[in-house]
Amino acid sequence: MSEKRQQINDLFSSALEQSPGEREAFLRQACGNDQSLYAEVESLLLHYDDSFLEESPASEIPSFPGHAMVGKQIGAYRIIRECGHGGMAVVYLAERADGEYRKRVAVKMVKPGAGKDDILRRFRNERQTLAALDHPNIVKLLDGGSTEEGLPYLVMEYVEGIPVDQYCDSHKLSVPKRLQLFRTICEALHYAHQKLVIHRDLKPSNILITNDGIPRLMDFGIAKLLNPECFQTELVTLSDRRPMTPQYASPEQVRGEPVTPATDIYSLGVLLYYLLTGRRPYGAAGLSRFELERLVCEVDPEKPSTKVQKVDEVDSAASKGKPSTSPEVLSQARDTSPEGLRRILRGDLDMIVMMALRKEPKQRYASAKAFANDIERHLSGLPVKARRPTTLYRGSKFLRRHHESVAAALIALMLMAGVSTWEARRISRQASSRNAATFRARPSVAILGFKDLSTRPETAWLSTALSEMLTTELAAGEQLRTVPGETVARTKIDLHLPDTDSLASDTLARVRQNLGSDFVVLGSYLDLGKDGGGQLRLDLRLQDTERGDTVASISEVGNETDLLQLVSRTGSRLRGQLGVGAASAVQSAAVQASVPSNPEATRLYSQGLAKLRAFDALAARDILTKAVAADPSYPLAHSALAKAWIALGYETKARDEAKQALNSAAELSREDHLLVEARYYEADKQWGKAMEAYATLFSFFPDNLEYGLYLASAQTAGGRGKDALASVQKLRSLPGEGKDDPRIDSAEQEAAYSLSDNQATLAAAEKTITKTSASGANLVLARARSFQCRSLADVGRPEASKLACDEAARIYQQAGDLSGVARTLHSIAEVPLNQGDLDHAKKLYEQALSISRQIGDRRGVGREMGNIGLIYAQQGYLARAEQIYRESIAITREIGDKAGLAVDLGNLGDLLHSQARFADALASYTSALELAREVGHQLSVSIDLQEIGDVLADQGDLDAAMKNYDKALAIQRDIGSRSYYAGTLLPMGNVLRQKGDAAGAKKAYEEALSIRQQLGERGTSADTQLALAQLACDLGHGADAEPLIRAAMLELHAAKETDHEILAAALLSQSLLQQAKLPDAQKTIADALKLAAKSQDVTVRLALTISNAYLRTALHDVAGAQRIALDALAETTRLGYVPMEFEASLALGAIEMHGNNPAAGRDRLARLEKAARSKGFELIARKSALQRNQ
Amino acid sequence: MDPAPKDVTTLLKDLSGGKQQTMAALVPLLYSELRRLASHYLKQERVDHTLQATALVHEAYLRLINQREAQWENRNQFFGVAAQLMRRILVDYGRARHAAKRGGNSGKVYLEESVIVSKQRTADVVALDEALIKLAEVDPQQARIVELRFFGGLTVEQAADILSISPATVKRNWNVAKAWLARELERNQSDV
Repeated sequence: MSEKRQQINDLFSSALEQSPGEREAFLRQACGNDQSLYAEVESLLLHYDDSFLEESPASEIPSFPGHAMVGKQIGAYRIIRECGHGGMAVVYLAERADGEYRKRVAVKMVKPGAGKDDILRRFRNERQTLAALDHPNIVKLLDGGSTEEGLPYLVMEYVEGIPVDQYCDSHKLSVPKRLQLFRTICEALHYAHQKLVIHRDLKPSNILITNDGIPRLMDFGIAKLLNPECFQTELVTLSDRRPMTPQYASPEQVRGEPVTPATDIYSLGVLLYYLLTGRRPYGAAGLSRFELERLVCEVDPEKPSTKVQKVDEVDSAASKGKPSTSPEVLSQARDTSPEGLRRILRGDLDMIVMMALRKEPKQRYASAKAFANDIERHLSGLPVKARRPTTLYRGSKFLRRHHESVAAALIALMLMAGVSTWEARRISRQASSRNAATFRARPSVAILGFKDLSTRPETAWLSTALSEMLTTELAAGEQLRTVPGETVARTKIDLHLPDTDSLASDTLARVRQNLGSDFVVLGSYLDLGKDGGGQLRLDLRLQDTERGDTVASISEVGNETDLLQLVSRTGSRLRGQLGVGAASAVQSAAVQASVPSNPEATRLYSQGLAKLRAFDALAARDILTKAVAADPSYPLAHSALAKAWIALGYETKARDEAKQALNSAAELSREDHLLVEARYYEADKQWGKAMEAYATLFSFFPDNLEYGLYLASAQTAGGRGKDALASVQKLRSLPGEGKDDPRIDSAEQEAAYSLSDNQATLAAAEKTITKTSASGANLVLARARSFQCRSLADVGRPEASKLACDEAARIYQQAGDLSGVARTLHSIAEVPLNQGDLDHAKKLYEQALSISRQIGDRRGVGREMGNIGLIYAQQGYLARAEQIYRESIAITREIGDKAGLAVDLGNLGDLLHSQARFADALASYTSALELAREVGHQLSVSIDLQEIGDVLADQGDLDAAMKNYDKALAIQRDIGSRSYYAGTLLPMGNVLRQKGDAAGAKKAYEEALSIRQQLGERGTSADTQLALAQLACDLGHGADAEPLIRAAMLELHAAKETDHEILAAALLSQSLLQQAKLPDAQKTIADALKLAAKSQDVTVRLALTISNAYLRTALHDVAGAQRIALDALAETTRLGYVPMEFEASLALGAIEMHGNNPAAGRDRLARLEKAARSKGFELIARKSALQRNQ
Repeated sequence: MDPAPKDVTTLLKDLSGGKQQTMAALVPLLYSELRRLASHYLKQERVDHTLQATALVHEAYLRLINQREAQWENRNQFFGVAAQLMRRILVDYGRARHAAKRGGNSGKVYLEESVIVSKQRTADVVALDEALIKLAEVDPQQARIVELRFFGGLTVEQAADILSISPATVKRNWNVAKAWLARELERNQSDV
């Protein structure tokens, strides 16, 4: 409750305690300047009435002592006895008291006490209307007036006769004679309809046949007054087993919907059915009233010709205590044999009756006259109009009469078939040509779910089931846009929406902002469980999110075991409210296919879905596995199970399930089918096809933002970040409110992040955060925060990064999304990782690992292990790291997580590469590359290519390395990954340098540096600075190199990038020696050696060793230098580490030249020059030559 | 299908233990019983009979509960649930009649739109339900108090007991709610 509301409550109560005269003054003083507060409380006080609501609600049944009237005189008539009695009126048999002839009449009058103005007015209206009916087959209104007490009464013809059904049977009327009689009844009814009078309660007892055989319809429009059954409307109808005759009630009457002349036509249909077959369409004995009404509304009755063959059925009302009506008895009463009766009914009459009994009023005969005409046509042997398709039927009838015209008719039929196929194609083309610029958004509906009034845990699933089914129902026909249940579930978590009957207008506005839906459906249900016969009542409300009010309240009753019927009834009423047409038969079939075939599967599916949405993938997997077993051909359960497997990281199983979903999706609607297809491609990492499927969905349904978002996300996932950004732009240019959805910004941040564009990621995340903070879309906000966190870490803002991640973790934790928490912990770890606080990072990864284990997320387990391995590798525990990598690889391989496996293989490759195990590293990288190609992840492909290039360069194959770099750069340029593009330029520059192309190398380094400075990546620019310094040293410009190196070293030291720091020290020493700064060089090497004691990186160690050898030479420790260089040479030769071997060789040659064996040195350098040149190592070759000639 | 009195009594006893399951088992039983009673009375057409919701609730209680074993606080719990259910049942009534009244009213007024019932009453329950739902949006507790008092026939003290608040608070909120609802109903009437 708001503070304002509390204030109003308090003030109201205090004011009430004042005497009435003092209230105003009190209020004025208490409110001060707050006019709105004053107005509100004053208005409430004005409406306060102490007695209001103090009396319990009562449904009065006014009493009327009927017997007291007997013998009294009303007008000219004396009451003989009561013959009918209802809620507000009573009917008596009376006779003229003054006349000579004793004419009997029926007198109807309002009960005393019920004489409220409203009722009296109705009564007078009724009198006028009835007076207007003057037809030989309708009972006449004779007179009317008021009693002394002012109560109005009506006097009507009193008809002696017997009900039509009894008349027909007792006279053994044949079917044609019954039809003649029935036709007359139709005509009389038509007359009344033209006078705008509907009967509403046609049944045999209201149609009397006089002794002359003339039908007389009675109780026109007054049935409700006379018949107590009708007084008790839906409540009673629903409740019990009381014998009554709802058999004649139409579906719309049962549902309490508007009554039209078609309602009478339905009742006439039931009457005809009964007259022809002796049975009612749904008249099985022992049927509960509730069941009967369900049948009336939902099930097509058997055809009359089928019904008459049934022996066992006993009509409950008519034959109580009578012998069962066998086909023999029935056919005898119709002057024929059982087989004869069947043959008479089969065909036209079946069709005529069924047409009158259609559920949908508009599909019945357009008028009672049309009904009568069709009977007439049948009696005359003409084709009846009752069957559809009419063309086909005419064909069979004419077949008997005009043999020659058959061929022509067939051709006509085929032509028509052709037309309809063509129509269908044209329609689908139109649909696909709709595009974002021209579409008109459909009204959209979100089903928010239902509160369980029974509060039993075992009925909670119904909320999900009803919501899902209703969503599908409303989506059928594609006239409405429905918000997917998954999105609704997220938003409910986001906005803390409870399951409730109704939402206030401000909440509705927030829902609209988050879901973009024009309408929401919500409410409650009550499941009576097994004891209550599985009855289920659904109370729902349709609310308009823009106007903030309730459009309709709908109550429906159904059965737990047949939710679809309940849902389709509810759905059709909602459609009616939304002004959308009913779904076609084909669409209904698609709805049917979207629902499991049995109640058990429905329950399990719904429970599983709810678990999935509550982030409990383990439970979801278990339940959905059972759901799939309960109905293996239900595609959406497979789809949901696939999602559970994905959440648990099992990609192979997910793919298999998604495939099963696709295999059984044929019956689904076009929309659902495409979606299932797209999901499969996604699960199978066929990103291209997934993108295509989503693009198709989006072009069909350009008003459905979800599809555009799915497309962008598939593009990002498929490593097509640039395309994803293009999709985002397209979404932003959508008409309508959808373009402001924060999820679009979220998609942008993901695409940008996948391209390692930190600035763009941060900008998009900022936009997302601003919008979501306002709208309360917490999960989208959390996601934005976690991307912000990662990007901030990348650009070197650890504190801000940590704050962003902490908030993300908090939101995920609150929402119960543990997987989100684990992922965030993972991101948080990047900060200490970047700061070199490896132990802290490892601790965070271990926490994430433990959560992943807890929620059964195998992919998470693999991911965290991989990262823990990475830390061990950095800490120099290479064996431990390798072991963990291999465990992680086993997991990612088992669950089929190809992307994770590729990462692991890449990391293992790095580990092996750092140990100069080139062949093993190459194998690892190559496997990773194949995987990346298989899953179509372009960025990974490019990274693997670059790393393979690095190994090849270390193995001395510079040309092959260059080729790999070129390929990698092409991909990175294509997908727009600037960061990795720079990352490839660096080693490429190194190769160019080796090849003696200093200018090319410089260009590559400078381009890399400029990109990295633009991207704001920290640490990485140090590498580039060092590379440029190396070039300076190559030219002997040690003085130029020194400041560059020192700056880089500071940065590397701060980032605790020890290995790089050592490499920088080795280079620094080189530049210092060139400047003859011996003591500085000596100190640099000494410090570096201390640092290197822990390093396990072969390159680092060798580079330092070689620099040390040069230093020792300069310090005139030739023997020492020679020994070190020889060791290095031996090791590099053994490892096949070609560039390093050349460096060692060069150093050794130089030492020998300076020392005691210049000849051997010269000789070594000559051989080196040749060997290096033959492999394209021009720089070494030149250096050798230079040394040799000194 | 009739629930055996003993079952319900036992269930009710469990209620004081705060078992959610118990309440869940009780609800369908109670709902069925209330509806049965309601329809029973409507069929009876007894002379001078007025069907009172609160009377029904009390009768359901008497029928379902073994008096000697039941405890007072559980009794209040019982009425708390019954009030909620009774509200729905009565709204059903009202809606059904509404629907019947509106029947066929598409431009032309057909004579037959006449399930003649006391218009004032039934319209009130439906409109009140609507208003109550709105009230629940701004002040759930007040709405609940109205439900307990009006539909369940509970006294201020009983309602206070169920809601674990003081009787004075119930009384104050009851007064505000009445004023609020009266205003809301008036607004809606003028809308139509």
